[in-house]
Amino acid sequence: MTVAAAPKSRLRALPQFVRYASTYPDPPALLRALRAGPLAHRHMVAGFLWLVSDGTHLVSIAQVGWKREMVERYSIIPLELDLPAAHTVLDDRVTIDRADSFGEVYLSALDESLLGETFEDLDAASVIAAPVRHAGMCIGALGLVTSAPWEDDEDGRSLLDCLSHLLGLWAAHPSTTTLDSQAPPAQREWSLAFTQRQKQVLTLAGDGLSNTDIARRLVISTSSVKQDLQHTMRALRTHSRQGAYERAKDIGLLS
Amino acid sequence: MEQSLAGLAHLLEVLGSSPHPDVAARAIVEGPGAPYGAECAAVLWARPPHLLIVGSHGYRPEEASGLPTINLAADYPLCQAYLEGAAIIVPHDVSADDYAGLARPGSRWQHLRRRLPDGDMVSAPIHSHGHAVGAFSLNLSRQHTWTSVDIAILDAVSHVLGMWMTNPDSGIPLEAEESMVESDVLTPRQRLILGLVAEGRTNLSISHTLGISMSTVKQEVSRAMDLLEVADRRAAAERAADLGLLTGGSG
Repeated sequence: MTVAAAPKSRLRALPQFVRYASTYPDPPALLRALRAGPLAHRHMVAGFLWLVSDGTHLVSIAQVGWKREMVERYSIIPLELDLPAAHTVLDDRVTIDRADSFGEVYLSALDESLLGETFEDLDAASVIAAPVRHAGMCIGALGLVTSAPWEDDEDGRSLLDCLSHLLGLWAAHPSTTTLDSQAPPAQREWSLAFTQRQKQVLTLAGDGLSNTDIARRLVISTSSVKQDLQHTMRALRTHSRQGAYERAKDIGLLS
Repeated sequence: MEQSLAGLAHLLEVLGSSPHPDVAARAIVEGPGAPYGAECAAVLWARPPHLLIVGSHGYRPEEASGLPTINLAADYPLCQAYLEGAAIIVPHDVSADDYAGLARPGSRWQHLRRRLPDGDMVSAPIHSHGHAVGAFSLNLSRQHTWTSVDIAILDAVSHVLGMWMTNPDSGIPLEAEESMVESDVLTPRQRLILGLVAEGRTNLSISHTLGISMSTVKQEVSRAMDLLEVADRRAAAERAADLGLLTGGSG
């Protein structure tokens, strides 16, 4: 039910965006056009566009409105993480969260202080993640941050549905250049986005097991164990396994 | 607006699955076409000087063209829409003064006109990379007061179809190539006869050359005229030549 007639310029925004997408612009330009066009009246301030890589990670192909640290942090997201972008791909559903409670909900995967700051700067109200679909599969994700609460009405759902499939058509077209280089899943020093396995390794290390024992228990190589521990220690800014374990427990990463 | 968005979302979803063009035509009718009372649709790929019908939905046998192609020089709104790169909307009961191509007695347009007398026919280009690569038509059961928003939606459909069609995964460019070459609209005998007609031969002369009766020649010429949607034997020979049907392979 339409309450009041929307201004014509707003109704034309999506068709105009479709027309633009069919010129196969590069991903950052497309995302900016999305923000200035069909998502303008929805108060989009920032966003990410990811594509699924290797079936295991989301790799960012475009971002708009973020600080550099956020861009680097979320340029690669393992699908096993507890984050909306990963959920939207695995469950093929739209997620809508309030920005002010985002840190609490996704604590185990985030550096809460950094995220809190960023959301404040953006004056964010909602965080949305939608799948990018093609050929019946989820091939990526669209992440949005809005400065006004997202109205989850029929109009909003249809809009996200349209964008979901349109981005899929655009991404799957040979004229679109998306991934210039396949960056390997990098281990970022300061990232608190721990995978399930890293948490397991850390927990066992905290229980006092040696690297060899941990490797045996989890059926992985000792070098994997060492790598995981190094990453977690650096991220938690400690020099000892025990210290890393304690810190991780303190901030609720190992619940 | 929700209706249009939902309709467009439906079309986008179907197109994303590399559908058969008939399925895509159906998605146009059931998706963006639904709010306008769409009954049938056709999707065409441009191979100048022709438009090749790659998919259609909702047409009755007597309303469907016997031919897979439309010559771009024909006086149809569809050709004009492609050539001008803009949507053309006419009511089904448009007069012959406007489009002579639609007014031929006994033509399939007459059947459509009888079934959907109060409706509009939408002819629009299909765009990709900023230029027209094909066209689509939509036959509606009712007339509509077209606003700039409606035109914008048609434009979105135009570009979305373009993104789908030009992706090699859709199979359309390849199929189009193949069906132009293998056009078996006319039988070999009809093609032979029309070739001789093109040389200016009389029916008697043709019957002698081919060793068949005069009545057979007349029958075949008549059938060819029906298939090619023309009014006389000379036009039939010309049209067949245009379509590359008179030589052994591609024209």
